[in-house]
Amino acid sequence: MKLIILIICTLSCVLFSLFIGTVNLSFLETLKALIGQGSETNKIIIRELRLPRSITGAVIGAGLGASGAALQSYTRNPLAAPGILGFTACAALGAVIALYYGYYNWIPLAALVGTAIGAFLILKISGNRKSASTLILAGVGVSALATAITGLTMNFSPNPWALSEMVYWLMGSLNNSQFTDLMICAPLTVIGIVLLTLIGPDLKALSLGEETAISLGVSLGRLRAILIIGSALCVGSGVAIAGAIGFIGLFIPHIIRLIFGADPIKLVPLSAIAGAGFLVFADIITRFLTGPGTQLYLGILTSLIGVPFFLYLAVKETKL
Amino acid sequence: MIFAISNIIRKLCTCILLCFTSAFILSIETIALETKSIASTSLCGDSYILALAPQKISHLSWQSRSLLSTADDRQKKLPQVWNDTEILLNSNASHILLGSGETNNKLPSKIQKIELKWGESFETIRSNAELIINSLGLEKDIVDNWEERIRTLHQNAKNRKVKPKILYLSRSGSSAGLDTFVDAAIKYAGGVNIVKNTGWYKPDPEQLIKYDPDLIITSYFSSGYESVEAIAVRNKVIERFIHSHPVVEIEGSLWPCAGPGLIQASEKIAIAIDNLS
Amino acid sequence: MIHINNLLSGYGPCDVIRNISTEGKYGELIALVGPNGSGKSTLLKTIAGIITPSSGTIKYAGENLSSLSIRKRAKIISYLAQNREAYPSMPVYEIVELGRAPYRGSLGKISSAGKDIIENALNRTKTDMLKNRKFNNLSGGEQARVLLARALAVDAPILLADEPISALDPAFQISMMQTLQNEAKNGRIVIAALHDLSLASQFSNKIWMLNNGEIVAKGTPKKVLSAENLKNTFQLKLPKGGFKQLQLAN
Repeated sequence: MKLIILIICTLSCVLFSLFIGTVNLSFLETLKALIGQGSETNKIIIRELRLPRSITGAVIGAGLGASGAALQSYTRNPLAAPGILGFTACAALGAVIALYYGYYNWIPLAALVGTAIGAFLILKISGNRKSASTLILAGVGVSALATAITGLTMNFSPNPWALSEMVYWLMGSLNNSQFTDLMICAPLTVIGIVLLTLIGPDLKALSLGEETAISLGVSLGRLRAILIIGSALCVGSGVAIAGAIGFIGLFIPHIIRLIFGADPIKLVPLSAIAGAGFLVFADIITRFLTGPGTQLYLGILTSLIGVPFFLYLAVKETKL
Repeated sequence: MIFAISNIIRKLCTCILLCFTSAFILSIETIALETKSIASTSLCGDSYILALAPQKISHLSWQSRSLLSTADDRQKKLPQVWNDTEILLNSNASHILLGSGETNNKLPSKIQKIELKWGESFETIRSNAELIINSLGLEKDIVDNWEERIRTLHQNAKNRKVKPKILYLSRSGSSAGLDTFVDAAIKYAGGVNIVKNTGWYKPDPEQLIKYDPDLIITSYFSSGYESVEAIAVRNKVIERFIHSHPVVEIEGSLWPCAGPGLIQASEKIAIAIDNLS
Repeated sequence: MIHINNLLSGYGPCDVIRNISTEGKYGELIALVGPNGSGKSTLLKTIAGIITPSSGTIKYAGENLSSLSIRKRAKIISYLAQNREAYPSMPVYEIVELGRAPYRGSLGKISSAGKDIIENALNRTKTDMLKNRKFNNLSGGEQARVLLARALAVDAPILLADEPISALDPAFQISMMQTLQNEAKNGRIVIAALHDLSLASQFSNKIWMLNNGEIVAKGTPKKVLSAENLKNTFQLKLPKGGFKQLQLAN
């Protein structure tokens, strides 16, 4: 029952987002354009601008939600998230290197490779120590390093305004999504989510600790490798298209845990569904709040919504 | 007696020689003082002095070798400066042309500073040019020629019966609304800016395709920097929109600011408008 | 039977246990005793496959355990870790259900036979009434019993327990030892690392005494817990009248 409500909420957000945009189209005009009727311009707006934007948002949100859930289950740490652990920064570094040196078509691959290298480094540095501080430190360190190298890359870029562009790009935006982006992002994210869902039973066994998990037949090396590949696919493809959108992987799994319980087998796919709905919802809000000339960046909004919620959760948990 | 006369003649010759030497040295110094050189710290400034006083340029800006520079091959080899006091002092230029918004209070008073003003009209070209001409003591013939071309443009624009609707689009998908120098160039070419917002305006892709211009001016498409923002060259919907209308590309190097190139840009737009009919 | 031959194992370059050769039979509760650092945990983890030995063999039913896949090994050996952690906090039933992990189908599906085994494990450890409670809300003793139920749910012929009764009150300690003894009586090989020598002597059929990584004595409790062994290994004196036995009131 709860699952059906979640799916309905997500689908509603995606559908509703088609009716919101900078150009005011009536309900009827939007519906007509969706089914291929009405003026040419309206059809382009709905089918080639808003529809890919909404679907891309859903796909990226799903990937971020799923990777956050998997990371939190693996590290047994509620603070683990693709952004905090530096996955996003590493993906951005890969994408920036490809972009600024003219290899535009290689951006998705470069972002994937960036995330995979970063993930490997983070998990290697924190090693078998599962303490929160080691993991977060490793993540903050790698994230800071990736951000610094990104800045350096842009500093040496031929474009003199590259550094200021970086700030805006890192704030994340779905503004320029098109179907070609979706064709790259969607398959990679779907594969990533499938991989992360498949390791759900192993992640659940890991909740008893690494030694017990090994004794239950879990191969930790294989688990870690699939986690890295799955997260890299989800985060890397998302960052390549929309820049750095943070926070979703951090608090969506918390909300799912509260409603559906903490079982990692369910947490990963449910966080994917909820993440999809939430990112589209956040994008709808940016469309409402964006004024002429001032664009509200999606990453800023997800943080503005995410942080107070997360603080509320943190206070609530310490009070229990 | 002969010995005394030869002594006097010798002393007289020495005196004359000394006088000539002093006069020669003094004249060299005077010539040196009269040799002026100018260093520009901005792309905008480059466009002015390359047009007005190419022979007096000692240094060009840090962007002089970029795709947006109007310097020729020889001029690109000139050393580069930017608004850094040490570098400017080291240039030994007598005049420094600072870009609009740039200030430098640390330069000694013997160096003449000229500060360009940012403007959004053809009037800006004249006022900036006058600053440079007056400072360097140049003839006004080049500026007079510019004035003539601007007047011609304006007259032809007035005479156009039908003024086409024109949309400006840069590489990053940004446009130019009213009271921008692009708007001025469009007006003087005999067109009407389809964007009614004031200032430098970036339309959403949805808003962009709602426009129905008679002519699209693109800029920086072939000469821009690679960027995350380059949506006008990478977004398929915008690409189709552009190519479904008459297009003219105006090189970004002509108008990084309201400079001499703006006149040429406006003339090119006028030709494109002529070609529409 | 489980046969251990010339086992050498440890963490990294140092070997913690050396020349371990011993065997265990079905129906035996073997207590593994020794001072801190003697290698009890290392031995258990090596048998469980958590640590790979540097040399030596461990054979079960004639098969070398290291040649088996992790999953197959997981069906033969059930390991109860010393630290009682479960993050995130899940209901007790789900935790015990994890014992069926080596047998699960795709996406963690458990057969009905598996479900019966889980129920059985809950009953044997008297944790069935705690089924729906969250693990983190239980007392230390209850948590220990739940984790034992999880280990029993594996239904493996060999059960390894690393200090299963540490930090428990005496009643819980005895109750746990009784459960382990029953498991042995039901045909398993149970090896438990214990610090409590009196409970070891009371409940176990055999004792392996470790010191400095080697087995210094093995055999019946009476034989192993001799005055000489206690003095040499633990620097302890054998109490007069032997170890006193505590009983549960009901």
